[in-house]
Amino acid sequence: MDVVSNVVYPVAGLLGLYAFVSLASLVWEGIDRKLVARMQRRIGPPILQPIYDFLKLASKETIIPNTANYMFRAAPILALATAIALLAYTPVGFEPILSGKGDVIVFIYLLTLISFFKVLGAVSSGNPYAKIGAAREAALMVSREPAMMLAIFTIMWRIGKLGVDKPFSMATFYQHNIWEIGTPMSFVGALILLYVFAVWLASEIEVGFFNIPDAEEEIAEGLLVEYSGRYLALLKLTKALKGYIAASLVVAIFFPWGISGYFGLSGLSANVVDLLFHTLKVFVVLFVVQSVFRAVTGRLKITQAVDFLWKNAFLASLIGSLLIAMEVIM
Amino acid sequence: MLGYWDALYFVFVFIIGLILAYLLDKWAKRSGMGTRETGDGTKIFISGEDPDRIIPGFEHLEGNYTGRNVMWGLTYALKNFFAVLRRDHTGLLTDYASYLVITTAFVLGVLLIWG
Repeated sequence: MDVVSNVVYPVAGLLGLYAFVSLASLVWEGIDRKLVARMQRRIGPPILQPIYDFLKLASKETIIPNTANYMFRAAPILALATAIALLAYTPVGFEPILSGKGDVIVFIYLLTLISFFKVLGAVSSGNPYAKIGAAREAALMVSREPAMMLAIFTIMWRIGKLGVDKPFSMATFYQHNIWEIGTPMSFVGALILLYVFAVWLASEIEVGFFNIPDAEEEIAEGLLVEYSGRYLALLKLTKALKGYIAASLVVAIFFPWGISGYFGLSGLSANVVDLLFHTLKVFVVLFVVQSVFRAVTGRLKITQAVDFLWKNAFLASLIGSLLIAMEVIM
Repeated sequence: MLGYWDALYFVFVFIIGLILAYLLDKWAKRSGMGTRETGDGTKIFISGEDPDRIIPGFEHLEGNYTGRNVMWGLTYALKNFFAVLRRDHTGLLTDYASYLVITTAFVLGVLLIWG
């Protein structure tokens, strides 16, 4: 086994990616807060405010509630570790670092595991608000994932028919994309699935309609109510990373084009340029799904959100998937 | 090949993530103001209520949170769907046998049509 190409390069890539994405996602949180503030005619915090928040929270005293058990302390670290591991399977403008070692199911599994660890930490705190938040997060989680999973499996299966090296690998999006299928039906299906993924992304990062598990005004930030100090800092960083990763999936499926080809770059410089361009696209997607959505909508009840996700998003996903798969099945 | 997963790399990457997260936690613990685990400040927050106060008539309830049904949001929102499912679970063996027969006939029919 070639140690350098199998271990050293992936680890170096993962560390670099982690450093970049942490900064980029925290800066995005700042841009988002600034933009929403401007939409509401406020001045808003400085753009680097989430980074200041992170450093400040890390330096504050951490309070462990007397009802908490050991999972309360372990959950933030496990959630951040899951997010970092997930970065190795995320398409970020180029093929994922470990695209040959794990497929889309690993990606979905790790993305769900982050929410699972958050729920586990919340119920271990012994706070009733946190338990209500955890119950809402669990109900939301089982409602939002089926629509996304149906859509992404159909897209990958259909793209696989166009001829790719490994079907169901996250790298397929950079070999063929959803717009290359070419039939009018599949174009309509792709537009419907774009809507499904926008709804899924909004519920994954829990903004606007879906800001139910951490409802600040209602249940005192729900899942995070007992977290303070460095654990809260870790969880905020995890949330920012998760937003970037989930948006990366949407960008990779629908807008996978890179710009390194136009400049004739190759190797590391091509990857850096593509990563920067990908980050720009992630910011644009998050601007629509997070900033605008959060500024113009309010929070739903949990039953309304579950109802919306099953009867609207899942149904749209079913129709879009059928339209995309149609000419292969028939 | 429809799906693949290299468990060794998965564990490897997860351990790297754990090390990074642990180092970040260690750094924060060293540079921060420490951890408080005892005293009145460590009581849970329930909007100013004292969690240790016993409410007369509710001594039998453990804790403050009585809504134990974690999936209430899901089952209530989709109650029509779950009612249909519940109605089908009659507990009669003949019903379950008929479901099996119908499912087998459906699968065989699909296989016959699509070859």
